[in-house]
Amino acid sequence: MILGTVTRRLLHAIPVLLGVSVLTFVLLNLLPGNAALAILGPGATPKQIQIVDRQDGLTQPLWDRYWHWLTQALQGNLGNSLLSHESVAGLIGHAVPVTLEVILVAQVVALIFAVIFALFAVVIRNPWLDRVLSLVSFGGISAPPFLFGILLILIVSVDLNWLPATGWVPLTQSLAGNLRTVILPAATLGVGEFALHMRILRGDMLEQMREDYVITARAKGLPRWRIVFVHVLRNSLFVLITIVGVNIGKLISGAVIVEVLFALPGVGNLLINSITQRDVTVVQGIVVFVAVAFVVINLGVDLLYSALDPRIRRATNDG
Amino acid sequence: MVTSIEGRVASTINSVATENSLIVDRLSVAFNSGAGDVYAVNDVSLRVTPGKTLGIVGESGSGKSVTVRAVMGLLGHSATVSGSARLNGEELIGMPEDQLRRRRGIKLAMVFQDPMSSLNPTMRIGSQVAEAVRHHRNVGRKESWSDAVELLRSVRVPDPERRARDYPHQLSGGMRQRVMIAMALSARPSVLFADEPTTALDVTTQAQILTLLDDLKQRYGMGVVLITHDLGIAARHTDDLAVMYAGRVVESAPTKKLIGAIRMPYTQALMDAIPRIDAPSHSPLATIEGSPPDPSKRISGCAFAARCPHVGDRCVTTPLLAEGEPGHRWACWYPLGVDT
Repeated sequence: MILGTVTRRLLHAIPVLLGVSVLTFVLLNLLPGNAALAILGPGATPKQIQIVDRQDGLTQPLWDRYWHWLTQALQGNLGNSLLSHESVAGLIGHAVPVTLEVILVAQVVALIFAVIFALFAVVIRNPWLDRVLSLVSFGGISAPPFLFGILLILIVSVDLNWLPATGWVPLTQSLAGNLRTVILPAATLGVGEFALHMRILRGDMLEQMREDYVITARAKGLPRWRIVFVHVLRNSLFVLITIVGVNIGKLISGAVIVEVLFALPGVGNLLINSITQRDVTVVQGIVVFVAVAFVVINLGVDLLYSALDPRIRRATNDG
Repeated sequence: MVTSIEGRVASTINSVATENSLIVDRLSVAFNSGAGDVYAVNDVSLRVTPGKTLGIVGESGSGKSVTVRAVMGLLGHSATVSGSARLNGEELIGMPEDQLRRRRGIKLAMVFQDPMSSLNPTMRIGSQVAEAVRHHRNVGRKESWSDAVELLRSVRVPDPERRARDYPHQLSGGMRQRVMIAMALSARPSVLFADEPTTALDVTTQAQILTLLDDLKQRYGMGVVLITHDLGIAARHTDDLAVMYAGRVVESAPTKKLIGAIRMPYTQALMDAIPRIDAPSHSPLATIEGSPPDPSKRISGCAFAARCPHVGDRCVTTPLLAEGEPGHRWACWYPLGVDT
């Protein structure tokens, strides 16, 4: 049953999440500098720093602090920021819509374009189009995303002055303003995704074209476009979904870079700021939150997979 | 039932009306590979008449499948096809893909060897049959679906309304092959190619599928080409036979005549390779020594000479397929049972 699959997968996620939280805790503890220094400034005396540290509970042993954090986190309390004393959950809650929107727009648009271009390439079989597409996908996959982001800022924002280079207008405030601020970050994040998905989808569809069921479809007299759109695309979607699932981690880390580049108030920016200010509770909260999100999205992808493939659907229903 | 007219068919073979018959004349196929050309089919001539089954028999790699795929236009760009294949007087070889496509599935249909991989694993079988119906006749989804159910019923799929909603993996091998046949029949084709349709099936299912094909041939009056490596199957389910070896037809005749008086040693070797129920138990199975020649090399002389128990001096020159007796052709210098 589907429910059984979900429970099993969530149970598997528990040791992973525990490991992630322990590792972050230890690594953050190893970092030089602390939040007190960020609060008090470079002129702070060791005495003052110790006082602030004690207020924050940082003088207790590492294990005690972790245990305290874990018991609180399990009750849904991720603690407060050491600097602003706002709740970590609140800070993340404010930042998530921004990151989520950038990732979603990037992923969806990248997928749409990837499917269109791959279909086009497989249906018309033009060697020149193939060459251009393989060049584009090669560039898109190998170039780091910030490179494309900087290029976009230089051309679209600075030279042409069409779209703002930085800042964010929430969707709740203005749709047009929101679109203007999401386009460039999403494009920066999406170009690599587009390139990767297009390349893999095109390759898999060309491979599917050699399958026996395609010969059957040709023997039926179906036109090539119909074979590609109806028969081949459906069977190639599985590969695409798998790649989307595998690539979610890359997408999240890409979002961090893009948010810093475009100064967006998202989770990535919050994370970077918290690291530089040694705001360990916020960093800890974000890392665990992202890990949970990763697990949940991957589970969703797997469920989608079994919803689309009748062979798996049957296997999960039987088992 | 064929015996009474077989002599007449043989003697008037060139004057029979060409209506709905497929005439393949000196068809050759070469594949362009990086390492040089591969000559898969050489000078093959065949005739498929409505309401009759032509068997093409031969080992793997003898060019049986390539021949029919060339006629269907299903070979890739690496294939060079020459010669002629006329259906109803209309030349198919060299016909633009777009026009040939409109004849595929409608005039010429095909059933393949492995019904599992030949069906789309992610589409309901009803949809796959209905798709064929919709492609041939301009009908709506609902009508094409009910047509698909009727087609499934006609190939004796039990409970077709429910079965149509199944996916290929939910059916047995025999049922899948019935689905393939239903799909192929959707436009009442003039010629149905069955490319080893029973090789992937168990023996009882084999018999059912072959009987079904015989019935459908009678009912719709279509010409059937049955490709098989099993001379036993061919003997029971065909009207005419063409034996292929190394891309050539080496013997052809009406089935009864051919089976009654095999002339070509290769055909005899295929016959001897059929396990016999009356043979003493534990006697070794007969095999044909050696393996077929490498198709990437042009062969001079008889291609079977290297494996032939009756090889003689003249076998260094290529024997041509010629009519040795009325209606019976063979390509052999030393035919069995004939004084030369």
